[in-house]
Amino acid sequence: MNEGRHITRASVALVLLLLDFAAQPVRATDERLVRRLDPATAQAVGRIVDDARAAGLPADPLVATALEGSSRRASPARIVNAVRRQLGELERARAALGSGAGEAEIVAGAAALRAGVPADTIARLRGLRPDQPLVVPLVVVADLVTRGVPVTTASASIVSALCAGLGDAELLRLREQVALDIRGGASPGRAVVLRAQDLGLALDGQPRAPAAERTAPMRTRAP
Amino acid sequence: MADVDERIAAEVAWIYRTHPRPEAAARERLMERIREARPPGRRGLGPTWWLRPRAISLPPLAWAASALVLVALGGSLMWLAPLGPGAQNASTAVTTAPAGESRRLVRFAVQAPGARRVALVGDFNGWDPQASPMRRVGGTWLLSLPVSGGRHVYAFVVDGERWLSDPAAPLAPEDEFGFRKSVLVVRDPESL
Repeated sequence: MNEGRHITRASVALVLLLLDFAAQPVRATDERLVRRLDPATAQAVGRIVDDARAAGLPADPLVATALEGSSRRASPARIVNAVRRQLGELERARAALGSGAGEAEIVAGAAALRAGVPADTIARLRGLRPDQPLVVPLVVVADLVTRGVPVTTASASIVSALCAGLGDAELLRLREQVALDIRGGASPGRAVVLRAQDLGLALDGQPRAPAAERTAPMRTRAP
Repeated sequence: MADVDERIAAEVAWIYRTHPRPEAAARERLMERIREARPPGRRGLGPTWWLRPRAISLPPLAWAASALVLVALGGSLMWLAPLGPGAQNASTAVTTAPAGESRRLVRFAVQAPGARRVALVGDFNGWDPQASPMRRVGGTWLLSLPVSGGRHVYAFVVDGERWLSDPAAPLAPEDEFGFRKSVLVVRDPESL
């Protein structure tokens, strides 16, 4: 009799333990949302977050967006719309980047899409850097477009930079110089064209030959 | 560049003002006290015996048995203890700071000479204006914060009302709330 009671208690303890482990991720997310949002909004956002997790997409950026909305005193409908729209952008970004894309790449790709960078440009950038991180190129192209550079010019400059083998540090320097030029009164598109020329980049998506090679034919023709 | 130098100089001056340098003789006094200290010896099971860290050697079988006992004890306590809000808070803390996650100390700075208070908000602190108040040094507000690797977005909140993006950082496109956040890329070989 006693033995049976012990077995029952042990089974109940095991079931409770398993239920507790199963509930951990959902409860952790709910806790962050519940603390800052009204119950209905937290529940609506929680469902979108669960959808993201089920699809293997980053969930934390969605929670962060909801919390940002709370800090900015946005209406519940606006918060839920913002999170839902972001989920769509994350899905499109992963489709463009490929299933092997990292979380930071997907989030950066989603921001680039929002800025207006076409999905096929993002896919092309992935093709140019199949095994290297793409976060910085995506951040830079999104920044350029956000600062008013025409999408085609911004996309072409980054594609050309990757074709030429420019690294992340050079891309960030290009971004910084363009931002300074714009702040100084230059037109955004012109600023990118001039800075790209300084780096020997052609904006037709093809790398321009290094300066020494470009001048070589002229020398041979001279005599 | 000169602006950055001035900021760093002001920060260093602040550190020197608030952290007085040790006296020249301090090292000698410390060494003297170490020499005078009693050498360690057997002192019985007094209160200090229980508080001092010790290395315990056990055969693997004994470790395994101890682990089993601890797991069984933990399981029975979980069964007895009600799942209250405290337990939920504990799991949330683990979620926001996973063990082994690589973080880097990032220094944030913004010029806001007329501000009464400035806070840093971002996806790394739940966009909570109370979480990361910045420290004023002259007209500059500074804060160093450990941030995990990856792409992050952030902003500054001036006097609890006005949101500012970082003029030196890349911009994110306008969000649903009508604001252009600043972007921070923290290098982490595992995620970037």
